[in-house]
Amino acid sequence: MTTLSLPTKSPAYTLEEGLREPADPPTIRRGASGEWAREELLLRKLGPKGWGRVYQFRNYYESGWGEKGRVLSPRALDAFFRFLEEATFPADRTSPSVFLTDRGGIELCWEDCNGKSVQVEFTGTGAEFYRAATDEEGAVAIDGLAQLSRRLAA
Amino acid sequence: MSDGFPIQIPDRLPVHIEPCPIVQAIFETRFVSPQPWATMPGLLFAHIRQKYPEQKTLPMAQLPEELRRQDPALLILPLIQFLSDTFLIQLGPRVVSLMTKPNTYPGWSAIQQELRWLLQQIKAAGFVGETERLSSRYIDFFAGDIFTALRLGLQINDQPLRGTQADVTTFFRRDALSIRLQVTNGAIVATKEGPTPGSVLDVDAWFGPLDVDLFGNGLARFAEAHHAIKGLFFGLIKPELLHKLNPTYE
Amino acid sequence: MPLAQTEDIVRAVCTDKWDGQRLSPSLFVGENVSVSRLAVVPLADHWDLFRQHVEKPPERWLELIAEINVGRLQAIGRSQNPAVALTVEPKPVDWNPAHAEIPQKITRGLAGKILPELALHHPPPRDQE
Repeated sequence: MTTLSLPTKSPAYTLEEGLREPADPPTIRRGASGEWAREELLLRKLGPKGWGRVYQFRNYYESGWGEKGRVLSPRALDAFFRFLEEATFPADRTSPSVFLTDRGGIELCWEDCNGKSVQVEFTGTGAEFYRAATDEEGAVAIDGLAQLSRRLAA
Repeated sequence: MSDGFPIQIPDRLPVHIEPCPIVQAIFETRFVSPQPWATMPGLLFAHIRQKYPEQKTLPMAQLPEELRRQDPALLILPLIQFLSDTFLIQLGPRVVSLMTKPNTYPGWSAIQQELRWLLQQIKAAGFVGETERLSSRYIDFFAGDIFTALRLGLQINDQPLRGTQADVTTFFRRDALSIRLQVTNGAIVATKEGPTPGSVLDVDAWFGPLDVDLFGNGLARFAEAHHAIKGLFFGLIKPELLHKLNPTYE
Repeated sequence: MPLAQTEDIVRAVCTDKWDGQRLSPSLFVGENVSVSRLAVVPLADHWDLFRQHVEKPPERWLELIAEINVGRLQAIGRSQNPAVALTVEPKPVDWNPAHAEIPQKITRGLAGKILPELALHHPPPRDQE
């Protein structure tokens, strides 16, 4: 469900009538400050489905969801965006899939240019990955995410 | 978009200005919690009630939780307020903030002391899981049109746009700090003399989840954000306005 | 007493683990992965059981039930390098007498090999349940 973001408001002041914003039409959704770049990144790299799923995981999955699910970790989400900024995915394949893990991580899965699966789960401390092409499994810290992203694209 | 920070910060910043334009200062943390919302007010109040004996339910609390959950902007709003003589504490399912009372800015030293105390109480209450965002926000009010006194303005056909109502919002990054700057000359503020039209400078500076841990470096990050806002303010205002504020330097 | 190779087990797949095209490997990654036994509760009854306990509309729906034979699961574990001896141990809980767990640690690589072997069951029309 797409909803509109409210502009940042403060109880300390109100704007004069001429400057007050009219309600946006349903086709417009304004990102919060600093969020626009991330939303654009999601749409560009993961498509509308990926963008919508991340939105859903952020806003609708509270602590204790499912059997014992943990709410999406803000650190994991930040790690995910850092990776995504550098990531390239094969153009002729289905857009990557994004999932929420039970421990509050966010997981990205896709196939490389040879159709072999790649999976990365982002957590509060970095990422765990598996690459079927080389049967390689490992983990990186936050500062290794950009390099991992380039490595998995190669 | 440029990577460089476009505002020149002066080397020396005043320690005091008079009259003080600060309407309100807000020090906020957003977090995720393993606790359900219903338990959180009680958990916090148990630790702050001697200093903040009065509590008030905010209007947003009247909205059913199902409706609040449908809009992410509503999820981060506070639902309850605790009051002391000098400060307000606001609490919501994903947010806690310390606010100065309108038009009574007590000074950074007093705020830092209160923040230090409050963080200890929040930690003891045990409902904050992971920190999502930590910010300092300052709202300043000026009579008249602030755009004439700032190094920021709008242009049409390369000519300054003057004498019209304007509301400008822009976003900067400075290393780990994100800054939202909003300037308007069409605001109405509740002052001691009643509702007063004029201009507002609203600056919100925040750190994201990978750069802050409320109980680790939270106090230092509040101070960093405060200092960045102070530098931005004095970097934005023209000398004529600075002179009118009778700055005192150390 | 671990389950016999002849038993079939299932796992609930909700919106967070299925995007219409791919399954999340995290369905099977880790230790003590929860599964449910078709020998104790038939597949048709699992839909209601899972809906009551893991579904939370409108945001989290039960999308699929994924099924695999215990013997097949164990064969996949043995084919890993190094081999993993997977077992499925009964562990009934209040809401599910068919509940069981795979106690061994399943790596991402192993989970990646399990996923293609799952039989995916889509929900029957509601009036047929």
